[in-house]
Formats: sequence, structure tokens, C-alpha cells
Amino acid sequence: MGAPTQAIRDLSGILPILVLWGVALVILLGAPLLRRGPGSRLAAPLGGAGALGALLVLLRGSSDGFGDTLFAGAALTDTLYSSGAFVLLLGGFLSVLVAQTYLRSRDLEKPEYYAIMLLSLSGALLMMQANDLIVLFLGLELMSFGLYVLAGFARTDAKSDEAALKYFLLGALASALMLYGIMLTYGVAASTELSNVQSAVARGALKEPMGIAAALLLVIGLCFKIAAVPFHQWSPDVYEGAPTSATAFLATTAKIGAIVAFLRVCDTIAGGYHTWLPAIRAIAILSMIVGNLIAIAQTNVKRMLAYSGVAHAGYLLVAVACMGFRLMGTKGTQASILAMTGAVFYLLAYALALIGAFGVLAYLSSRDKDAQTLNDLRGLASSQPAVGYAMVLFMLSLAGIPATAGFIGKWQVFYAVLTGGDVALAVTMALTSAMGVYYYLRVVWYIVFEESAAPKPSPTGHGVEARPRAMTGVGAAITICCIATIGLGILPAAISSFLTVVR
Amino acid sequence: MIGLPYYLVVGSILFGIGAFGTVTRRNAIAVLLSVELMLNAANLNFLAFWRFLTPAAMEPHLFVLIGLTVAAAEAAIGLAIVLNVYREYGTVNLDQIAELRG
Amino acid sequence: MLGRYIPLLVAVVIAAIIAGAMVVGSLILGPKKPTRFKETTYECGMTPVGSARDRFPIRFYLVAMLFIIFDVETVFLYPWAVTFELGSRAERMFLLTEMGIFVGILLIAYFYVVGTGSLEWGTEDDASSKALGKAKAARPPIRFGNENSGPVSLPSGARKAA
Repeated sequence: MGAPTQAIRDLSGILPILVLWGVALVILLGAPLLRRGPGSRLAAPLGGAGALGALLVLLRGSSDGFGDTLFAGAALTDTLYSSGAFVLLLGGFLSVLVAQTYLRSRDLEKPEYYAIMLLSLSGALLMMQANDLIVLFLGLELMSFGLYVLAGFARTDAKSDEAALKYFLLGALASALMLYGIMLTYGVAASTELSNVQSAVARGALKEPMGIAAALLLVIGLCFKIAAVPFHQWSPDVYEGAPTSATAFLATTAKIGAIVAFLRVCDTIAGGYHTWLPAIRAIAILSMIVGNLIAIAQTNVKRMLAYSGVAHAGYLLVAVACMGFRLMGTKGTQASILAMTGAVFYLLAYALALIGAFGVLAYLSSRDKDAQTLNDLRGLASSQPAVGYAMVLFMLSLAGIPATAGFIGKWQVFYAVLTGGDVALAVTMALTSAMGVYYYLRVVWYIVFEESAAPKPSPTGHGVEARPRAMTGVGAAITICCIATIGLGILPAAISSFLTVVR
Repeated sequence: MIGLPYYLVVGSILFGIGAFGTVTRRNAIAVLLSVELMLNAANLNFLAFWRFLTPAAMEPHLFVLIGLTVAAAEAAIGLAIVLNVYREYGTVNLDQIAELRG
Repeated sequence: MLGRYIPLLVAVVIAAIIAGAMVVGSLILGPKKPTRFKETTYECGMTPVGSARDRFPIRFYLVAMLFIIFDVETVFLYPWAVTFELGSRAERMFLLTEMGIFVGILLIAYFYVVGTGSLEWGTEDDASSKALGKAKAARPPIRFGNENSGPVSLPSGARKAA
């Protein structure tokens, strides 16, 4: 096969990434026009079109040519990638909708925001497609750089700058650790391609000190990105300080990208599970307990969702731990495949509920008020019933109450780990989930049963910013999240054709 | 003959200095420098592995180039963030940049 | 094996001795008649203005950062150039296209930088150049040592030597 035909095949495998890049570059080129005047209305639709276009290209491509390696083994397309990418791009599109309203109401809108978002999404896609640790690193960095900038997008807001700085410094440390781990992997396996790493592990590379160090550094680097205990300290500060729309985006994007990459890496090194499985199990258990415990004490909803995110990272790590069972008989193999499908579904449910919840906060924010605390939600069910009950639904989904998508996701991961025979993890998961219900229901209590602190708004809403928001981007995002959360909670099979991971 | 272990030791010392600096320095720019040191430790070891383990392979060179590019992009973004922080706080001391608590 | 490096070591030692001897010799033998103007910073014959520890306009940092990015991107031209020679005619066309795309992306980045005005050092109506002007006004007034009867402030090290 000649180089050009090969290249066309390779490029069509990363078509969603190319679409994202293309639209991002168009936005950057047009930035001077999109910054002010009539053009400024065009930036958000362009960003949304980029994410949606990539999603459509992905869905069209998923019918043929899967399980291929691209670019001489640097990347691949398989069902884990395509299902993860589906969740990621859907989340990206919803985040654009949230950003459109929130940025405008807080006077932060600039076309660069959407370009950076799309580039960040492309990084996460690259990370999921990586068949080589260096490509994984490259994708991780591309994703993270965008997220650092988005966290500090409110440049004149000290909190936003501080969030960006903290996120950046800890993120940079994590990526340095990861690169060192990749370097050590190269020393052990003489290659960073996952198939070669897998055969090196089969030869016992994870019994050597260098191999052990490499595996642990990789695990630590990825745990930073998903904010698992004890590498979670940045997350509450970043969630609180970043503009709400950026928080929604970075919380979901980083988690989806890193977890899918995590699943792939751990699946690759399953042969040496005795080295890394205890570490992952410990981190998962710690994350579930610590995240849920500290979340109880929070009065700022963004911080609470950050700690709940830590707990969710723990639940997702349970799925990652299942990768270690792959070589333990047929039950173990079954558990690992179930866990992959479960994790992707979990990520979808999490993204929908989280973007919905941050969307509600964005909906309530205006030029001079950034809704963040429980008090801002007080009595929402009576003052603005539609938004209030949407928030209730998202909280129930995050808590994992039946008939919501969150329950199905949690159940799938739980079932996978039980199939794998790890009772300790399953029990911890069940107990901490019950613990989590408390603080999610407290939000519900504030919304439904507390009296609104502010006087009841006039029919036009309150004050200047009271133009009807339901028709704007965030209204659409909340509606989509609501419908999908209930729909997937009742009919999870509706989407299984996109989300089932086949091995 | 200077063998692979020497390079690895130098690399791990660099990495150690970087890690130590990241944890102990309170100046945001010094932390950034420490992180760059850690990245360069990895780059150095990549080349050492190429020289002694896989002299025929070209990948390590590319890895180093990728590492350098990533480090440069990281530095640019980091400095931009630090500048913004300095505008708001008037300092780059991490202990004094602490509005977010809870 | 290390024996090969001994001549190099000898050369380094000799160079160090000679250089050291020159510095020490001029310290001991050289006549010293410090005057106030001899101690000032030598700046191409111009009279130094203000302290060297000055804050630079933020634009320098921006340009420096842009430079780093574009500079490092060119590093990818080297492996490309080496590979280019090895290809057949058809492959070279393909490689050329690829590099064209890469440079094109850099070009778009450049257009973005120009389009957003990051490289403009500013006409007066530019907001950031106004800030620049303000910074200038805030500086202490310029004093010319040789026209002014006031003392020229010396670097602390020079004062000690005097």
C-alpha cells in the first residue's frame, strides 16, 4: 500500500479529531471578527457545530473499520474508544450550550473559549485512541492545557486565576511524573507501544523494580487527572474558582478522557496485576470514603460536587480495578468487559447529571451574582419549579437512585466487580453510595422544602437579568440532560448499541 | 566506559531535585522550573535508553522532541497564568495566593 | 577507557590556571584610581538612566512566550528534513504536503496572533500602550549625571570597592 492511501486510511480513523481541529482553527482565524459586534453571536454556534460535527462523524464511522491500528500502531479505533468518544463529544456539546449562556451573562464571552474547548476535546479523543504511551501523554497534555486556560478564563477574577494556577502546577507535576513513568516503561519494554508493553509484562517486566516504578508513576499521573484520593487536593479549589461553565466542562472531560485511558492502560498491563491492583484498590476505597465524607461538610455546591467527583472517581476506579481480573479465568475476563461497558455508561450518566447541575447554577447566575452556595438554591422549587426539579433530578442521578441513569451506571459497575469476585470493593461501593445519598438529598431539601430567602420574584423574574432563559443554550442543555437522565434510567438499552464495549 | 546506570542516576537525581523543588518551593515560577527539570530528566533518560538499549530505534529522538514541545507549551501557559495571578494578587508566593479554602 | 580524557582534563586545568592568573595578576598589578564616573555602568558610552532593576512592560513577556512556541515548533522540521531525503519521488510529494499542513497550522496561529493585536506595540488609542505610557510617567525623573550636580547613585558593590 502506498503512503498516500495509507495516510488517507489513517486520517479517516481520526476524523472526529480533525473536525474539532478544523473548527477550532476557523474560530481562531475569525477571532478578530467574532470578538465583538454582530459576529460575537456566531462563536458559540460554531463551537457547538464543531462538537456536534465530530459526534456525527464518529457515529457515521462506527459502522465500519473498527479494531484497526492507525499511524503505524500509534493510535487505534475500537469500541472502547468509540463509546468513550460518544460520551465525551456529547458532554462537550452540552458544555458549549451551558457556556453560551453563562459566559454571556457574566460578560466573559470570547471566541477563544470555544476554540480552546474544541482543542481540549480533541486532546481527550487522542488520549482515548492512543495505542502508544507517548501518544497518550500527548493527548493528555493537549487536553490539560486547554483545561488550565479555561479554569482561568475569568482573568479579572482572583479566584479564577488562583484556580488556574493550582490546577496548572499540580497538573504539570502529574504530567512530569507520567512522562517519567513512560520513560521507565521504555527502559523495560524497549517500546512504548501498548502491544509491546503487554508482551513485556507477560515476560515479567512488572516484577522488576523499574517496571514497578513505571506502573506506579503512570497510575499516579492518571489518578491526578481524575482527582482520586490522595491526589485530589486541587479539585475543590479548581471547581470553585473556575467559571461555572468551565467547571462543568473540565470535570467531565478530564474524567472521561482519563478513565478511558486508564481502562486501556490497566487492560494492557493486566498480566502484572499483582503489582498495581492493590494500589488501585486502595486508591478506589480511599476515594469513595474520603470524597463522600468531606462532601457532607460543604455548603458551596461547586465544592460539594468536587468532593462528590472524588467519590465518583473512586467508583470509576472500581471499574478500572476490574481490568486486573482479565487473566483470572473466564469470570474475570467477563468482569473486565462488563466493567468497561459499565464505566462508559457510568461516565455518560455522570456527565449528564454533572453538566445539568452546573447548568442549573449557570442558569441562576447573572452579571453580579454567581450562584454557588446552597443558599442560592433555597426554595428554588417554588420560585422556578422547572429548574428546581431539574436540579433535584440531577442530584438523585448522582446519588444513584433507581429510575435515573446514575443508578444504571452504578449498578453495572457493581455487577462487574461482583462478577470479578471482589466482595470488599463491592461492599465499600454500596456502603459509600448510601453515605452519599445524604448530602445529595440535602440539596434536594434546600430546593424543595426551604423557604426562598429572597422575596418572591415578580412575574418577569428578578431584576435586570430576568429575561426568559429557557430558550437560551443553558435551557436546552438542562432539558437534554433531564430527558436523557430519565430516559436512560428507564430504558438503558436504548443507547447500548453505541456504548457496548466488545473485546 | 560510562554506562547506562550513570545516565539513569543523573536522570533520577535531576528528577529528585525537581520533585523536591516542586514540593518545597513557594514561588510559583520556581515550582514551574522544578517541573521542567523533571521533564528534562525523563528526556535525558530517553536518550540514554536509546544509546544503550535500542540504538537502531528512532522513536526516543521523537519522544524527546515531543517532550520538549510539551514543556515549551507548558511553560508558555504557566507563565501566562502566573502573570494573571500576579496582576490580581500582587505576588507569586503560593502561600499568599489562598482565597479558595473550605 | 577514561585515560582518553586525560589530555582534555590537562587542557582544562591549564586554561583555568592561565585565566585565573590573568585575573589575579591584574587585580594585584593594575593601577586603581576609581572616580565616580568610572564606577557607573558602562552602557555604550551613554549615561546610565535609572536602576537596572526595572519592571518591563508586560508586552515583552508576551512576545517572549510567542517566540518560544514558534521557535520550538521548528524543531519538528529537523526530523522531517532528514526523512525527506530517504523517500521516493511520490513519497516526497506526500511529505511535502504534510509539512505544508503543519506550517499552515502555524501560519493560522500567526494570523491569530496578528489579528488579535498581540504584536502591536501600540498607537496611542491602544489601551495597553496607554498603560505603558502610564508606567513611563510613574518612573522617577531621568537624571543625567554629568549635567547634574547631584550624586550619581552607584551600584552597591562599586561603592564598597571605592
